[in-house]
Amino acid sequence: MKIKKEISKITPYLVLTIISFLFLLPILWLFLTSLKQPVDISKGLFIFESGVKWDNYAMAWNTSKFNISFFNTLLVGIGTVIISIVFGTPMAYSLARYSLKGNQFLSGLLLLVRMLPELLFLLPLYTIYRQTGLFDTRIGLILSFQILTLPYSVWLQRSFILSVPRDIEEAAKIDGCSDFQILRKIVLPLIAPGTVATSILSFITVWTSLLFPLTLAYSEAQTVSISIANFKGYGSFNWPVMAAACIIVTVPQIIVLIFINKYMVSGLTMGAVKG
Amino acid sequence: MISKLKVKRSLVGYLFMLPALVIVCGLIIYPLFQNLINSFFEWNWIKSGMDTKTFIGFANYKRVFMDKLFWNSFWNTLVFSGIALGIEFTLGLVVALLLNQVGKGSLLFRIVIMFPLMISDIVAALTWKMLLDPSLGPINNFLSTVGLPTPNWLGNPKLVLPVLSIVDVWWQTGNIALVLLSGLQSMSIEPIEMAKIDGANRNQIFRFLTWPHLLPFVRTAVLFRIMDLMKVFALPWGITRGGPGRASEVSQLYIYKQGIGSYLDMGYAASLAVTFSIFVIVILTVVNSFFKGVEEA
Repeated sequence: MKIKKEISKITPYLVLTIISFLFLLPILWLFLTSLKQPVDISKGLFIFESGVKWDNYAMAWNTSKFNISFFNTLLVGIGTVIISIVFGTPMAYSLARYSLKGNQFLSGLLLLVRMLPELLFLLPLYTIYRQTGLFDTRIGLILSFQILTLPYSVWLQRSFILSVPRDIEEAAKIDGCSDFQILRKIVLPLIAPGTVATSILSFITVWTSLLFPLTLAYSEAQTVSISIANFKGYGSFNWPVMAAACIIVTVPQIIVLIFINKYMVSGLTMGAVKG
Repeated sequence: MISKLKVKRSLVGYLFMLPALVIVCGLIIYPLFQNLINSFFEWNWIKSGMDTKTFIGFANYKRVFMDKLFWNSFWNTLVFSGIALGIEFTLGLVVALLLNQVGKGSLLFRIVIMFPLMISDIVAALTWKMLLDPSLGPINNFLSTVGLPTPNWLGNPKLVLPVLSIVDVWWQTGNIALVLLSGLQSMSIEPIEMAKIDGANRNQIFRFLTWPHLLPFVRTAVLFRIMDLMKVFALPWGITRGGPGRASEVSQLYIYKQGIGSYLDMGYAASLAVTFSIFVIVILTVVNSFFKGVEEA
């Protein structure tokens, strides 16, 4: 009886450990491969016959325009976040406080964008971009990402604004603040942590997106997803360098996501954390 | 006086909305509209250049329904999504239940199971392309060491879709587990304690208490998962480019190739995108109707 109880206590841990191990194994393999010489890649997980080669990271950084696209993605990401927050927050405020009939429209729009295949937007944008010269430009990419980031920035910001007590705003109004001043001087500082979370989720959308830069950029505005995909052209013996590139791309992402893991679930359902 | 104030107030409200509305109209609604228009035109950039655009009515849509390659891609999308969803949901539910049961150490397990989620689709694709490589990949290396057969995972047309589904299982099971776990954690303990006192066994507790409470979360997890599975692009593009032949060519990949990727048949690609989008909406509506009466989580 006692043994049976002990087993039922241990089983969940055992099953979870096995699943966790299987989940971690590919990542562990990727990391170890990123430190190997090409000749060691198929010799077993922990075998480094020709030594550990940290150089792979430097090589990855300098190959396939990787470093350029790293900063490029940074710029596009920051630009996307700024537009989404600056344009989206006033709308979020309006939806939260002015009881206009926009909530249903917004949630409908959010769901629609979330539901529809990206190419439904990207095909027409491609034709428009080719005809207007926005193709393969950073500004073009920044604008296109608004399709994804603006709706959920508005949605998230709205939920943060709704959690601010209304009395504070009423008091400011009596003291003679204009509506815009209330938003800027009272609401914005109060929802600052939320704004950070919204910004990070938007940024990750840009950072991880493949289809948007694949269709709307070519070389000038190339992002990291495209450059690591291009590593494949270098043949199978460059696995360690490619693994290193994958790690370089992923590390910043994981750091910020752990930082805001409270919002992970809403990021997943909104499609910010790619699924 | 009051109504004047009210009008002024809602005017300010609309003014706050204006900047975002400009973007929504220009970048979301206008392209959708433009795509619909394009779908009624013969507009092949390779054949006749960017400037020749001829109205042909529903001819593109007729072509879509006769297009065996499109139906092949749609079938592939369904097979891929079906296998992936089935395994992800079962495994995700088990993981969520276990995580909820385990008190100590649950945070560590949670982080590990969340880990693949934090990796982008293209990195997941490239990693697994290497893992599954028939000659150098560690999976076949391991299998041959222990004396098991080493299938050509990505070269066999019958294996390739299930294999891609398994990659998605690795990548996204945590998604479903996290959503269901947040459902389990929002459950109060009292009813369960009372049921235990009344002599209910574990199966009864799950069936009559846990599962009904979990249903709204199941709905969220499943619907969003289906959305993303049907839209899959990066995994097949990154791992097989749709191959071998067209055995793993999913719909978004086929549409991409017809349009921007290689054939630049923009009018036809537009009608493919519209048709596929309608199919996605229909499937989501049908699945949603299974959850009739279940509130939103």
